[in-house]
Amino acid sequence: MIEPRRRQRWKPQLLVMLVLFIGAAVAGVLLLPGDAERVAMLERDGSNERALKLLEQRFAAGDRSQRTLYQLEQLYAHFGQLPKARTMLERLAAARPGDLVLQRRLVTFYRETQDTEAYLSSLSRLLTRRYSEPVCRELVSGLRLIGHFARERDAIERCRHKGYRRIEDIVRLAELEAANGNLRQATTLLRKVDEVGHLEGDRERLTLLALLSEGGEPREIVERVLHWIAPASGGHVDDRFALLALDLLGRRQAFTPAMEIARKAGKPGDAISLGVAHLLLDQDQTNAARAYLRGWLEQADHGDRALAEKAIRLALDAEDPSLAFEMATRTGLSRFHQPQLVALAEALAATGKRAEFDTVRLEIASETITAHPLLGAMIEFNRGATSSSRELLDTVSADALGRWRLALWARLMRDSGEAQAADTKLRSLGVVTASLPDDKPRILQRRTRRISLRLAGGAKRSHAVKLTQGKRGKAANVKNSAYRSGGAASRPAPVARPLAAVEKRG
Amino acid sequence: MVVALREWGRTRSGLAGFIARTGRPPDRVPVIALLLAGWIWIVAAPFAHGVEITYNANPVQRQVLALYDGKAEPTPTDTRIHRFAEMPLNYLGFVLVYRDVNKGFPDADTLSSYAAVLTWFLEPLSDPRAVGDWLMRATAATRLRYVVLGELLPEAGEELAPVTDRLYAKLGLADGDDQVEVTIGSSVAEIDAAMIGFERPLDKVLPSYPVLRAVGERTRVHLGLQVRPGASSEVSAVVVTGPGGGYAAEAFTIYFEPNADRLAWTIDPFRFFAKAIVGGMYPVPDATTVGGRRIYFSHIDGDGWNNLTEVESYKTEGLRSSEVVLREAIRPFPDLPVSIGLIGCDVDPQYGADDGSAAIARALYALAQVEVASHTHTHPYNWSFFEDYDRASEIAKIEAYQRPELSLRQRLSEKVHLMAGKPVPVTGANKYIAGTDDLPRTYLKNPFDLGGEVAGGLRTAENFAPAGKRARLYQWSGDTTPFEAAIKATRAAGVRNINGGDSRLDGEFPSVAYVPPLARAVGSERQIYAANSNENTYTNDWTGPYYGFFMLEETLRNTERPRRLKPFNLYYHMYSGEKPAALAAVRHFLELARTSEVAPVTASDYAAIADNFFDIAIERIDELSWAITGHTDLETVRFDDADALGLDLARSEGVLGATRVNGGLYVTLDRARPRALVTLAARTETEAANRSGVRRPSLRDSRWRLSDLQGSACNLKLAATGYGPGDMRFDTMPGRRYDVTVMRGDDMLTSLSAVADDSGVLRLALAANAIDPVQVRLVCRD
Repeated sequence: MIEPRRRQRWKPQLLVMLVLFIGAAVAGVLLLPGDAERVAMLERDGSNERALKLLEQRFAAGDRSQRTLYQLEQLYAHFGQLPKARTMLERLAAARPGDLVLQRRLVTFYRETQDTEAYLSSLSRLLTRRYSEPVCRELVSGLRLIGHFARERDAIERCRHKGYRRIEDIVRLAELEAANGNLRQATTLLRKVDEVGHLEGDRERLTLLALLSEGGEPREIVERVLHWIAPASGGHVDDRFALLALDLLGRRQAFTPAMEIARKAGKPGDAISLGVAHLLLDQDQTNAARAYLRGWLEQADHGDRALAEKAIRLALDAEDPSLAFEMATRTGLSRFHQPQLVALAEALAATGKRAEFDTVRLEIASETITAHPLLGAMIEFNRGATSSSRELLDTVSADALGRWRLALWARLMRDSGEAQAADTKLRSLGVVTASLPDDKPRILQRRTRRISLRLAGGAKRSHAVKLTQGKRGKAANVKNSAYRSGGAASRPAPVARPLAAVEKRG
Repeated sequence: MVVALREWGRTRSGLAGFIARTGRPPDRVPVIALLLAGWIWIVAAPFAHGVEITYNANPVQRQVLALYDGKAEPTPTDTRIHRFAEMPLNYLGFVLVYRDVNKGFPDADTLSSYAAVLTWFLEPLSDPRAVGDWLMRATAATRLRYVVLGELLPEAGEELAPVTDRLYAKLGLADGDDQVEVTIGSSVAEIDAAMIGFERPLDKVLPSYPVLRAVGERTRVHLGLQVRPGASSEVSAVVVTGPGGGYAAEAFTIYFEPNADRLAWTIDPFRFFAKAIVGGMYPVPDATTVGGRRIYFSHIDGDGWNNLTEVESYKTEGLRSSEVVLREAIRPFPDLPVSIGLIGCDVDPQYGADDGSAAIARALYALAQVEVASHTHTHPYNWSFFEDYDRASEIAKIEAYQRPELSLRQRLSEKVHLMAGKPVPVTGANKYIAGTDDLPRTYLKNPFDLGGEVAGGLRTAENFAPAGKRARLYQWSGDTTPFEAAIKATRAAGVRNINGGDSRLDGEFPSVAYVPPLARAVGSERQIYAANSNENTYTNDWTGPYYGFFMLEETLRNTERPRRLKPFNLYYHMYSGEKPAALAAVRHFLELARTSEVAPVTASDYAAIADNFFDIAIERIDELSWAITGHTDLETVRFDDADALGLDLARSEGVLGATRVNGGLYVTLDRARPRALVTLAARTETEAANRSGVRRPSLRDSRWRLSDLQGSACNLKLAATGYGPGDMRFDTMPGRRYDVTVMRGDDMLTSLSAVADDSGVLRLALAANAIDPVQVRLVCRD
């Protein structure tokens, strides 16, 4: 009778043990590492070749999971199997278009493997996903470097619509628009930049002025220039830029706003007010220029040689050598360079100003006279040495003479009895034969070269690069920087890490 | 009769040369006078055996005087001329001589040795008048060309207008005394598409430019800009060439993109310099080619010698990178030479090296294809620091340097070793071993000594080589800017020197501006640049991606076509044996070299060839004939655009043959002959002559270096050295059979019989080891 009760006692225990056993077996099976874990373990242990083999088997069997693709890509790169690494990375990127980190990795891969077109295209796609200023910058500069200007323009425009506000590139966009003939669009862009106070460089501002002058906006020209040159508190007017602006406007024949700027910004006797004379001459208002210069002279600072030089050249351009002489003597003849004295002397000689000529001639060095035969001929003629004057005159070709020199040459020829030859020559040069009264020489219908208004001390032209030097001028400053010495990557060789082995063994 | 005389005269040294060197072709010389001269010669010759005939040959001026402003660009190496312009000039055969305008000018009587004077000034000069006056005087000599990139005299004042006017006149320009800053409204009036837009098209937004007028019919305007719309007469010539030289306004030379930090040439510098300077065809010494094939050479810097490899198959054995390189990249390629630069201290026990390091060195240097070289003794990073070396200053840097902290384990280990009286293991905390290039060199324990660094480094390397195998090369380390005394020390040690340059021409560095010239002048010495970059520039200074070195292939391709600018140089470090991808890249290029038609030479041979470029002298004999001397190592001269011309073997001397690459004719000279006479003729004639079989076979190309040609058309022998099989091709009579033997002394190494194919090409594949010199004999069997 005991047996039935014993059977009842064992059954639940058996069941529990059975359940536990089965559970343990199942758990054990579940805990076995899968392929993914095995791969990870192999990688961890440095058995990359086996890991790769396993992954390739999975891939061949149809496994296209992202984890597999990712691990394959890493291992292919590790072994230098680049075409395969690229395929995996592209698959991954296609499967995860929203994964910006992955997309960026693809961009970097293309750059590192030097597929320039794929690199730029993938940068562009990255932008479509999400705007980023560094990406915009990279894309724009990459396109600009290879000279794909249309794409560069489109990229800047796209970026701008997404919020890109890098001033250099916005200005560049404006310039590209202008180069494409879209002047209105270019003007609008630069206006917007200026309105937020970021148009600071000379070239940028002058570009806007050029566009405004093309667009016939004189009022705006005046307002902007006066705003730009307005003195900071307690400071001075930026006459340097004022002159640049006047020069540009004069070249573009925007005389009305230029004159207004000169009148409003200049002070009597300063460089800006001198610009008025320049502008009058640009408009062929010679008499007005002459009269203006006489008034200007009375207010001018005669200690400023550079300013005096400009004024003298303008006076000569206004066909008033006497005025030029007066300017020069007030400043001090000895302070001028030889070429300037020569030009003044020649003009005075051409108009028969003997006394003034002799005064200037005393400041001219003998070797300078030797180098200027026309001048020498005049001196000899004044001395009465007509034959030696003639000899010197014969060495001068009239073909390439500037205006005043041609006038002097013509005068000397006539005074030497060669009036007919002179007239013939002048006709052949297309010059209207003019009488040359002593005090009012008639213009010879040829303009002298345009004289720069700029202050920059005597230099014929400023270094182009410096125009763009402002707060953001570094970009255009060719002479600096990134022209690295020594070729592509003049970097020292990396440290060989000679202790790496020792450390690892230690 | 005239031709016969000329031919006969050419077998003597005098008459033909005399006739040719008077500059008058024989058919213009009265026949009677010629006959008379020949008769006199025939009669007098036995008695006039020792009489020298002086030729009126015209030396081809190969030097270009490069003026630079030392205030803005302190040394020639720093100048833009060196970094960007010198390589194209080297390619055209010119040797640059640098002169700082602040240190005086060459005497007038030395100017005749220059082809041109070149300037690329950047900043206002201290004394522009002195520079301008000298330039005026120098360029007044009509033969001296004047080439200006950028501004003549930056920001020169009005008082220098007469000077600049004359200089512009020499260039075929008249100064408009103006600068167009804002170019809205300007447009391109004239453009030479072959000259402008070389690597980057002319910018859509025209840059600021000077107003210059072209004068003279012979001034060729390559880029003319219309200053204002409608003002068709006002065109500014901003890139011109002419009989006086050439000019390119700054903005149209090189474009620099600051955000990408990259350059691109706007003008074609090869074409520009050729038009501005080259006065006619002449043989250009070429350091990229031997035996008609692109040179291949390889050199390894020893950095990473003791690094433990991560390459799986060797990792478990704990092999060093250097041993992996030995097993994977050197031993399996006995047909490819390689120079290995050992860093002396890498095998020095006082710095932690053990016998294993030395054993690898021995194993490497024992291989026949391995050239012994030194990569310095203590591995300087910053060479200028050692020019005026001050140990106290170095010690101060060592003390100030922030060392990595030791881990707890390392500190305990150190204490245990000290307590046990044993030497402390060398770790990254060792103050006398630099962990980075923040310190002047890697190994700092002993004071720097130039003799020890150079001669000592070479001796250390030699100690591991078999007896009699000398070190032949010194490979610069670190910033690869050795000072003059250091380079001199290598010459005194009787070895060549190499490194620096970092040549790239690929998607990441898309300009020939990144291909350096042949060498760097350092005082009176010369440092030879490596021909390609090593793996550093491809792997971000060895921080990854380690597969980056695969990209070398693009540079190799771009420096082969459309112009062969550089040899195939496989240059890497021992630490490439550390990473699988890097090692795979090295092997890839070794396989590529093996299957390419190259001429493998040692790195020291290449350095000798490059060095020899500067010593070659060329004289023009007549319109198509030149004499060449000084070619002790360089053996190739090149004629560009020579499709219609060929090598006239009959009227040449000291030449082995010619081949064509990229439209150019590459002539192989015989290095064993001190003087070569290279004569060209119409291509159809020369090819017909080759096929006629009357002349000896003309070498087209050879893997081995050949020289000392002797014999006749049907029986000739040549000295040869080389690596790998002796693959070579000759142009000869179609169907002619040759018995070819390769001998070393009295031992015949191999022989074969070969027949020229229908086009007259005789192909040979000589299975012999020619690392030690051999003799190749060809005997025809008609």
